Amino acid sequence: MTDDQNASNLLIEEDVYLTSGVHIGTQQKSADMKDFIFKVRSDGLYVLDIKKTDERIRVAARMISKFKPEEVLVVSARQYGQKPVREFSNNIKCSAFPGRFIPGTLTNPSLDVYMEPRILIVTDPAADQQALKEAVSSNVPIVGLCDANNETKFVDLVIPANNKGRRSLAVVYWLLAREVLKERGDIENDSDFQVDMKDFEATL
Amino acid sequence: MANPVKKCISCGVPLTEPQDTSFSCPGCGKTKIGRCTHCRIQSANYLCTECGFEGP
Ligand SMILES: [Zn+2]
Ligand SMILES: [Zn+2]
Repeated sequence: MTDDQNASNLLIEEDVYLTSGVHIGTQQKSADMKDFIFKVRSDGLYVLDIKKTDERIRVAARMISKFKPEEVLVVSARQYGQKPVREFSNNIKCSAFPGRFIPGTLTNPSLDVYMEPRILIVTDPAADQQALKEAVSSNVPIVGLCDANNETKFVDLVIPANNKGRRSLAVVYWLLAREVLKERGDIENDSDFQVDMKDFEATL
Repeated sequence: MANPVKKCISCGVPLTEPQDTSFSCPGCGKTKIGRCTHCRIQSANYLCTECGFEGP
């Protein structure tokens, strides 16, 4: 298979998205997310439009690649996002803050953990609201993984995705890492990204 | 110099508040997108004049 193998022109086989549940939203939807919702299932779950997810991963990678690696910060207070953001940061050489975000990290220069990122990636604007709030107060643009029920207040670029599932978060961050490296020219082809997607999955 | 974008792309107000932001268009990287605090809170749509990218 070639690098851009699949007929639908997605970044990855559609099946990988679907079996990982990247498109599976929540029982509630927010007004902010209506443009990213494909349909509501008979059991009441809102389903996200995977083509838009795919497109936004490309776009986000382009945006992130414009910054120096050390200017990028990725956070996840959610447990299942912690391994993915750690692996993402290892691969694209940016900063990561997995786990509970220490207040003042972006606003209090006297803290040991203090940093001044130029762009913030949040795994969930609700769960990562402390990091989001601190980035907002310092002009920093925000990329957010947003599920069907998220508000997108202060998010400057939405990546619509299931941000609660273990495998979904692994797929999204794995793809985002690969695309950032391609955008930077650090790798040429998809096949140059010799990292197992499983390595991005939180262990049970 | 530090901030070449002076206006919010959605509503046109000058960008003067700490909660305003600006960044290169995620779609094309060619234009600068400025967003004011109010439009960020409202999650107001923005449109790149160069490539037609619509955010957020
Ligand atoms: Zn505005
Ligand atoms: Zn553009």
